[in-house]
Amino acid sequence: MRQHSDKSYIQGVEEPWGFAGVKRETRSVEGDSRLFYVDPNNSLASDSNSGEDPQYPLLTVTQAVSLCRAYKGDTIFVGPNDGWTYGSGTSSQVAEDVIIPATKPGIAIIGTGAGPLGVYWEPATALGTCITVYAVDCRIANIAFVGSADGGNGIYAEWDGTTTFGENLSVHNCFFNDQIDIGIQFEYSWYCEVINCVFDHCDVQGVFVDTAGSGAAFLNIHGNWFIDCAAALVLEDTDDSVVAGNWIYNSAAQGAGAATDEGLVTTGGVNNLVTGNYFSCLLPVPAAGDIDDLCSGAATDAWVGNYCTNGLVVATPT
Amino acid sequence: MNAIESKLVKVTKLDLEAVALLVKAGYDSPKKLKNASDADLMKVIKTGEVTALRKRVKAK
Repeated sequence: MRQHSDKSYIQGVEEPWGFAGVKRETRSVEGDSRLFYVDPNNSLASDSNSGEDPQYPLLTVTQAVSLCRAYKGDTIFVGPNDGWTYGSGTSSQVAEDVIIPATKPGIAIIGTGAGPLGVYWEPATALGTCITVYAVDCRIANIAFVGSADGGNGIYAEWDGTTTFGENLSVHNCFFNDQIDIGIQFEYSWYCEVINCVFDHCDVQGVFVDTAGSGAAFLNIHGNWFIDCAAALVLEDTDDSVVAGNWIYNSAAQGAGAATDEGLVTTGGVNNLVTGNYFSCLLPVPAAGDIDDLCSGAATDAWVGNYCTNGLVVATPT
Repeated sequence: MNAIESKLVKVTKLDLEAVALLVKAGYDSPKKLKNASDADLMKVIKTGEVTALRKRVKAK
């Protein structure tokens, strides 16, 4: 394994072991950071391997997480597969319920698929959660979360200040399909970001903050595409967050049918900035499927410059 | 002030002294505060503080 003697960027495209599709910025590492490779479809994969040589990758992400060290820039690269629903199926998708424990802050899990959806990953157990984050400052990118036949969830981040510290989580370029129940859930997690993700017909919620829990705050949810989720963004009890530049399509609302709170809900929270989002519904009529039906905002929110099919929204939806 | 107290001060807008009493009594998250009755909370903090708390953390 090549030793990296300084804190410069690894020359990603020049490295002989580089997976296709790994973005250059994900290769920025500390001088002594370790890159772990996971590929359950590689015949040489074993959890007895070091995982640092892509020719001999690890079998599971769980083992890779256990080998990562806190705040060393350690990154797990998950190898591609063609477990896509409409792929040839010659390789299997990742099937794991992984926990990033509180003792592993600052690590990243990066899918290396070259396509727009990322590396296909389903829960290992019925109704399981693919990645549960209890550590602070982690990053997840380029993963396509595809539920099993029994459903399941994509990512769950929880902070309780004693045993779980899952906040400051960054989720980029991930995909959540129609067999996923909840795409991403935050529980008392602050300063998390969800950027450039696709939520495709998620069965329950795309992004969820449970009003029965402890809420969330300071979220940045930006540039995501929500396609006909049962509910796109249910952010009840969420404070001081930005929801910006998202595209939310709901076929019921688009057809002027009832779509009550299936778009964006921030009730119960305070001081959210909701701006530059596009909704497939009409301005307030009032009628089924209009912006007041599809969305509900908090009284102290600022909804600025959001668009419906027939124009600019000028008030917080009720 | 530890992390739990710090977060609860931000969420509840109560002063640190009241929050510290709540945490000491086991109410260390908004979820637990939601599930507590006003009567229970008044055993720990002042009535006015419970009223202020309810503006931020609604009871179930």
